[in-house]
Amino acid sequence: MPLLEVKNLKMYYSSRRGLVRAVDDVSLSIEGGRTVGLVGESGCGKSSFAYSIMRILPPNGRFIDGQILLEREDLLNLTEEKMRKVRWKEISMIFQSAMNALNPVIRVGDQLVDVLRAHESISRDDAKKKVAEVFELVEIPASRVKSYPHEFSGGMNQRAIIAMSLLCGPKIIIADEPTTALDVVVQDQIMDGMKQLQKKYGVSMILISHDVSVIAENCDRVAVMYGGQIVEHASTTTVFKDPRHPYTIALLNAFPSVKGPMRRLTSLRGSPPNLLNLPPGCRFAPRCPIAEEVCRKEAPRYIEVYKEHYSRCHFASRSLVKEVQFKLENQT
Amino acid sequence: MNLNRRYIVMRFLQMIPLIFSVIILNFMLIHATPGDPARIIFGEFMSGGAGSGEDEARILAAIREQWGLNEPLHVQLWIYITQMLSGNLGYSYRIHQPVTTIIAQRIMPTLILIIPSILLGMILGLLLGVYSGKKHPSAFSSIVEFISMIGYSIPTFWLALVFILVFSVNLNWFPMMGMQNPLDGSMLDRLWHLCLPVATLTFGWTMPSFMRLSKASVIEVSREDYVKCAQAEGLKNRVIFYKYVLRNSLLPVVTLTGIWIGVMFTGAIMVETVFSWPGLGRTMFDAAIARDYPLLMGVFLIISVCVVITSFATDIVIAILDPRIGYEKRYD
Amino acid sequence: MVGLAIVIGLALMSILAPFIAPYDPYEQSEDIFRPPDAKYLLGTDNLGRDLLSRIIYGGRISLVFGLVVGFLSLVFGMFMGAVPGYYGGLIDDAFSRLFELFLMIPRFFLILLVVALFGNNIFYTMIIAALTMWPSNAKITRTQVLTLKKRQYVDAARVVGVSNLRILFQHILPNGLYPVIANSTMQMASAVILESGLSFLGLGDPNFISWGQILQGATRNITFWWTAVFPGITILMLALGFNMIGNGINYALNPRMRERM
Repeated sequence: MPLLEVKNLKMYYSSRRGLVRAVDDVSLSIEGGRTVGLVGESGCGKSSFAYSIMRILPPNGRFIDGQILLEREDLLNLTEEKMRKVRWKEISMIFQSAMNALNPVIRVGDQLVDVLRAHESISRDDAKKKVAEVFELVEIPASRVKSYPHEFSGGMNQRAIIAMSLLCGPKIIIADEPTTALDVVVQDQIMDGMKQLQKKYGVSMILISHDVSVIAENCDRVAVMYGGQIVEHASTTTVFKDPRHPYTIALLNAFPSVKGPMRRLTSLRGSPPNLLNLPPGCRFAPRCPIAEEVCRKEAPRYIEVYKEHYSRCHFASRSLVKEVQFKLENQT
Repeated sequence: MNLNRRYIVMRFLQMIPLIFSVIILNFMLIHATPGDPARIIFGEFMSGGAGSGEDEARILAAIREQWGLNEPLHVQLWIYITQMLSGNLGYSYRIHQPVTTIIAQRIMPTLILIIPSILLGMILGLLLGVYSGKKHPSAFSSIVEFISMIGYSIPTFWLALVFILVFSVNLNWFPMMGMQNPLDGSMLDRLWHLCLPVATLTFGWTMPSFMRLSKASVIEVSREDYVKCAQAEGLKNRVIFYKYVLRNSLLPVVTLTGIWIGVMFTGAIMVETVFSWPGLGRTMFDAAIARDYPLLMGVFLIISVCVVITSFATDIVIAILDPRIGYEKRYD
Repeated sequence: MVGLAIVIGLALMSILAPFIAPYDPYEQSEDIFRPPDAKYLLGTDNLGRDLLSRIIYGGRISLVFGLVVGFLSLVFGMFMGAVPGYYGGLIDDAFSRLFELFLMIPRFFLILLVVALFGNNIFYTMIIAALTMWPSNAKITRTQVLTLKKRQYVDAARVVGVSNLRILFQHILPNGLYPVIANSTMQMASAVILESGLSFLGLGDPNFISWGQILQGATRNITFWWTAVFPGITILMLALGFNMIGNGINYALNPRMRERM
């Protein structure tokens, strides 16, 4: 039984120039204790999706359709007050740039205490103790509780907000690009640390990143997002071994692999679709190396190609790897 | 607070060369003007009080002696600086009083005008500005923006004229000029006289400024990641607004208050002239018309120094409120 | 955009003044202090001069003053800000001190002083006004340069071997231009108000008709409301026009409804 089930979620932003279809018919589910990766270019809607789950959208974000079921209860039906209780206690979030995620004029320790006391009625002293414990978990010296965010180094900041996300014992943590702002060595440390904590507490995670390697190392299942939609979703090994969508293949191709034969890195031409003005047919067609007439006319449906392997491509039934790779490598 | 202490000392030290520079600027002005510097110090006006040409020559000679005008330039500069620093801002031969005395006598009415205007402007401006920032985007916030722009663009003296026209001449609600009715010096009468001038300064000068800044500040801070994070953390909206949004957005307002104290004198000149208010601004105006240079320069100097000092004081206040200022990163 | 319309409208009015003004603004007549009517659209002043014509002509000086001062401040400020921003180090420190110094000087008082000392020649006034205004532009430019300096295409250009000066002018400045222009337009508004304030106090250049000047006459005869109200409206409109332009530029840069992805 999945812990979180998102069904056909549609969330658009209304702007002066029209509707921006940031999350357009997205379905995803997570089991307890598992990690699902969400990968895609900037602007494809990953963060919007995350904000949707937590319902922390800006005033111009509107839910058009779909359900977000947390243990069978639809979060979209909750009143704001009930949702406030769900936030952080059931689902918490790790923001991309830790420095910006913390209030610059309040001490870090105090911020964590405030969060804790917003969800549990405990005394200030007890809260402080718990915060000190959590700091220890992420290996931050307890004395730093009194520091301000700008006094932390980048890695320490990140660890602080990881600590913050664990405070109320959530069932799911959404990690939005948790390591993008860090250098590679620190990245590794942080991801390892997070994996350990996850195992220890049985927390599920939605790991959002544009870095395919981070996803590969840490996720059980992967969802590839493009233009506000999920274009492929399968277990990690499957996605890497047998991808069934040209965008996935192009993504994988853009990252070097240490093993395997040396090949040229290829990049995808063009830019992400304008979510205000979408083309008819497949959203990826303008950039797709193997696009054909049908792709431009008819939007592909999201179908289950094999067991638990979904794809949104007209040609998902056959293996496209060689074709796409070839086309990519021979672009002029 | 150790970090901040160093900052305070540094800013204080920086203040000193500024004050010197202003004094030197004054000095340069005296000597840059075509004509005899002694005459400049004397002031160019019909010296009815000084009597005959012989008296005048005597006074001029005395001036030359006092300021060392027959000495080489750098000696003169030194004399000038020492004179200024010891409190001798010059002597107005027109009014027959030292400049310092004149200032001391006339400053009270100006302050009576300025202080309420700043306070009122701040209160009204902040209330409206913060509220419209909270409600942004909305019709209310657009209206507020427009009103503050008009307030910005209105020439203060014209607003004064209009107020007089409407409220004094036509409606006869308030008196037209002066600080009090000579026949009735009661507090009520004085307050009554105070209304229009303060209203002019507030609505045309201070309020729009505070309104605009606080609105922009609130909007900008509301967009920051830490506010979103606070929402995600499930903190109550009130808490988010006060602790996260306001505490951060009011910092620029403090800076603005500091600037205002310096700029207010300019507005004071206008208002005092129109309302025949016996304050320092009016004095300056009379001095300018009568070419009473020593008075002009003395006041200029004092005001410049005041601006430097208030600027410094504001910086200190900000350093206390904002832990990011004056910080040196500790490496751990 | 509305601002642009206003300013251009007023500008046209000034330029075409000789053609559209119904009367010679200096011509005095016997119709002293007549309220607005069919003959004199906006009434006459204390010497029987037609107010409408005077206002039309008065626009010239306000416009010129605003534009010149704003422009001077823009150019000078940009230059003075770009140099320390780009070269950094000691130069940066020194310039920053300079900015602070100039910013502290109370503008109006300085002009008052200068006018008293040197006379009311409008050129002096314009220069002094610009002198007090450029530091804010310089500060903005400096911040822009500092930020843009770190962008990759600057490094790229440097690697290729483009000279520093060229980098500054071709790459950095064009991209950092907007905030400074916005600031300058708002300074133009300030300049217009400044000029009218000076003329109002009688310290403006007597050779030119100026709105503030007209208002000065109005103070003593306040019951004749049209002399007080109309010139002020035009000052307000011109300043508002400039401010709206500046505001519009800022808005274009910083869309108030930023759409997040």
